Amino acid sequence: MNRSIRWLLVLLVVAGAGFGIWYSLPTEEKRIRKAIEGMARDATFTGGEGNLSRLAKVESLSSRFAVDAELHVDQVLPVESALSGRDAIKGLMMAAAPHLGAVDVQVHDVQVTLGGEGEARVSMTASAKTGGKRGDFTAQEFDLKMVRIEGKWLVRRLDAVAGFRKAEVR
Amino acid sequence: MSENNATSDIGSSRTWWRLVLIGVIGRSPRFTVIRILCYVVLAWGVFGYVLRPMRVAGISMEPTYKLNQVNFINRWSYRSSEPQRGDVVAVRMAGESVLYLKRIIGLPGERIVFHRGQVLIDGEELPEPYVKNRAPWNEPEMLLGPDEYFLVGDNRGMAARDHDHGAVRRSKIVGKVLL
Repeated sequence: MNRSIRWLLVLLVVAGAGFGIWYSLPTEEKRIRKAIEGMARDATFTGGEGNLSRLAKVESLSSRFAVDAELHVDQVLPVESALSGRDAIKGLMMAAAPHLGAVDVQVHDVQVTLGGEGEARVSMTASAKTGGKRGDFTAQEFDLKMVRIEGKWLVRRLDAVAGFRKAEVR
Repeated sequence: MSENNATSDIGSSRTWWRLVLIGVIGRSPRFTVIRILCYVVLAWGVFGYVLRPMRVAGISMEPTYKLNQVNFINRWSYRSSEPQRGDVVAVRMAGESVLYLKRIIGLPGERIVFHRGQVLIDGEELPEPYVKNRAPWNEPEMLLGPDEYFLVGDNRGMAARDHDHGAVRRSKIVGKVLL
């Protein structure tokens, strides 16, 4: 009896160790998830954060986009067209960052679909919580196309997904 | 005399401890463990698959549902019936971690229009006793598809551009709000 319990314990330990090793192995999906979480971290600002720190975060955030990245947010924001190129995206973020108050960005329900040739599609919801007292929470669904360039997963295209279909203005 | 007091003190503390122990683990520890396991499995099943707990994080459903109010989404509410007008439902985004909470005002195939804040369904005014403030929203007519519902929050005092609303497919509706 004691012997069988001992064997059972050994088996459990071996199975646990195996699961731990498998879980900690870096896979492409985990790398993509890490990159997405990093984007959320870079987009999060505390109330007392200085401009230099904010600009450093913007620099880090923009470095997560490919040089030829495209931002399509016209589905949810009153903008005319897409934003093209990392520099244009960075310019927009640089202009906005000093004027933002405290904002806590988080990502939820990240679903990664790996494609061939170092490409992946990601679907996720991003939420932002600001320092305001009421209605200080907003969320948006995004579809991302990511590419692996020099071992790093970068965003090539970001689409904001409209949660509701609107009436077409004729 | 003092020894007797000490003995009775120890005795009463033992009795008290035994009562606590019986209260916590019951008279039969084995059955208590089984009971706890049953409760855990039941809670996992109910809250994982049927009733999803949620906390309101916006103001678009005020005054019916206020900020930070806790509620549950009944995922099984539409297993045997279709969503009805007036139901308050949760709508998924990329997943179910963050949900929209809205009221169904338009059903599949209907024509819906906002005229000076009043909702017209197929040309007829929709009575909405749950709307307490009404800003003069004007939106063009929209024909809902065979699988679409029109959802909007109760807080119509907000500007329409700040208030997420519109048509969603049936598959995006997670369930009905319980309370």
